[in-house]
Order: sequence, then structure tokens, then C-alpha cells
Amino acid sequence: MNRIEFMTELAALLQDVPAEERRDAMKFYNDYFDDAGEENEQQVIAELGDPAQVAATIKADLEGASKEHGEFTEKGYTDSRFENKNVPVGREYKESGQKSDEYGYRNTEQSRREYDYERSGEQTPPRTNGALKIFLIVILVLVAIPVGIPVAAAILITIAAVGFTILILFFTLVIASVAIAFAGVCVFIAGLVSLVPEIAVGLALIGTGLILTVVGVVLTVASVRVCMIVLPGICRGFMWIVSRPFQRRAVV
Amino acid sequence: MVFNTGAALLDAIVLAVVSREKEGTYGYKITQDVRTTIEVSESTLYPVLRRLQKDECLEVYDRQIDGRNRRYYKVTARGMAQLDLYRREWKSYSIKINELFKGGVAV
Repeated sequence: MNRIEFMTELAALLQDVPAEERRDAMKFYNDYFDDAGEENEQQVIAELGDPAQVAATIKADLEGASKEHGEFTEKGYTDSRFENKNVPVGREYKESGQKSDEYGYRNTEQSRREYDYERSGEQTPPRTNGALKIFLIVILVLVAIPVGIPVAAAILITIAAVGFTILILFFTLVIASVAIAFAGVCVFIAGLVSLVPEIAVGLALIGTGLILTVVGVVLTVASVRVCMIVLPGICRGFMWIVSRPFQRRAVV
Repeated sequence: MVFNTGAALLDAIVLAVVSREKEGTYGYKITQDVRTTIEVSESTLYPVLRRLQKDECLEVYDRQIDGRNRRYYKVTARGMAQLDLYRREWKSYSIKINELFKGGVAV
């Protein structure tokens, strides 16, 4: 590993710390390499060790900065950043699973107090992350309510309108058929009336009227049958569409 | 070394090293100076410097050296007060420990 590789890897590992912290750390180690000189580059890298370890040391200090300072003084608390440089790495190898053999043995040397400190340090970050997640979800819900409710209402109304239109369409067919039959009867009566002055016209009208009546009755029966088949289907389909989002939410 | 160096002692050592330079000093030199006294890994000191800087015990500034900016650390008034506190604490602490050890030898 050379200096460039070391710095690149360190920068990548520090992606999740605040930008200012990352810049400061990068500046420090960049200066460090500059001041150590090119001839000492390999020695410095060997001394610094794994970039993951360096990054973990920086992160451990950021996380523990608020509570640790002044609390564990002169009482056997071993500074996690000093000599036992595995302490932050302890977390690292649990994630990567690589370095446990190399550094794991140190854990047995550490005092109980230190272990507790380390453990509490481990538990804290997920807790804040969880709180952050809940907070974000709450924000999301709050933002979604003003948008989501009108959108849901619009979808529901659209579905209802389409269903109603189809219903009306079939209902219109029935009405049209009944109207044709009614018109046929009217024409038939008109034919009877005009039979006395004009026999030919009267007979023609009576014939037309009878045909229309029969056609109208047949169509009425047919359209009512179609409606009886189609309407329950439409109702079921409508109910299915409306209930689908709720079912899906229940599954999730 | 048999004895561990605690966080407060490490802070005190770093403050003492930086305070020796009136104009301030830089990361590499601080590390080398500290390492003349105690065994400390090179990656240990950056977090200490950063924390002291946040606690306003150290201030940083960049100075042009060989065509590049080198970051310098300088002890603030607050840092000096903190260092004085550490010195006093260390004195009383080390006296007590010395007494105890001497007593142990005598018995």
C-alpha cells in the first residue's frame, strides 16, 4: 500500500462522518505524510496500520467525545485511542470479520469497566439511527397526508365514476329497448287510427308498429339479461379495486 | 510500558508538548515529540488534537511551508489554564503514589 492508496481508503471509510471532520482528518494525515517525507512513507503507513483502524479511531472519538471527557480519568480507564488501538477495531472486525485473529486477543486484557464502556459505545449509534428513522417516517407521513389524502380521494372518485358510467350505459340500453317497444305500440295505434281514411298507410303503420314492438321487447329482454349478468360483475370488480390497497397494506 | 496512559494524561502530555512552542507546532512534530516520552501509536494523536481543538484548548492555523499549507496547533489561554490544572493534579497524584511506593519498599 502506498500513500495515495492509504489516503483514498481513509477518505472512503470516513464517508459517514461530518464533512468538516473528514476534511480535518484528511488534512492532518496529508500533512503528516508530507512532513514525514517521501523516504519514510512506508514506515509511516506501517506505523499507522490499516486505514480501517485509523478511521475507527477517529469515529470512536467522535462518538464518545461528549460523555468520555473527564469521566474516566486516572482510574484505570485505558484510553481507547492509546496503545489498545484495537478497541475501536473491535467494532470493525465484527463488521468485516477479518481482523479478529490479529487483534481479538487484546480484549481479554481489558478491564471490565472498559468493556462496559466499549459496549455502551456500540449500542448508542443504532439507537440514534433508529430514532432518526422513526423521525423521518413521521416527517414522511406528515408530508404525505396533505398530498396522499387528495390523491387517494381522486383515485376513489375516478373508480366510482367509471363504474357508475358503465352502470348507466347498460341502464341506457334497457331504456332504449323499452322505448323502441313503446314506439312500436304507438305506431301500431297510429296505424289503427289511420286505417279508416288511408288503408294502405294504416296497414303499413300497423306492420311497422308490430315489428318495432317485437324488436323492442326482444331487445328489452336481452338487455335486462345482459345487465343481470354484467352488473354483479361490475359491483364485484368495483369492490375489489377499492379494497385492494387496504389488503396490500395489511400484507405489508 | 506497564502502565496505561489515560485520556486526561494524554491530553495533558499533548498540551505540554504543544505549549513548548510559542509559534505553535504541527502534527508530525507533535507525534514525534510525544513519542520521545511515551509509547504511542501514530494514529492515536489525531483524535486527541481534534478533541482539544474542539474544547478550545488548542487553536489551528495554516502556514505556508515549502509551497504548501501546513497546519499548526497552538495552545489557547483556556488550554494553558487546563494545562496548569493538569500539572497541579499530576503533582499531587504523583506525590501520593510516590509516597505509597516508598512506604511499600520500607516495609
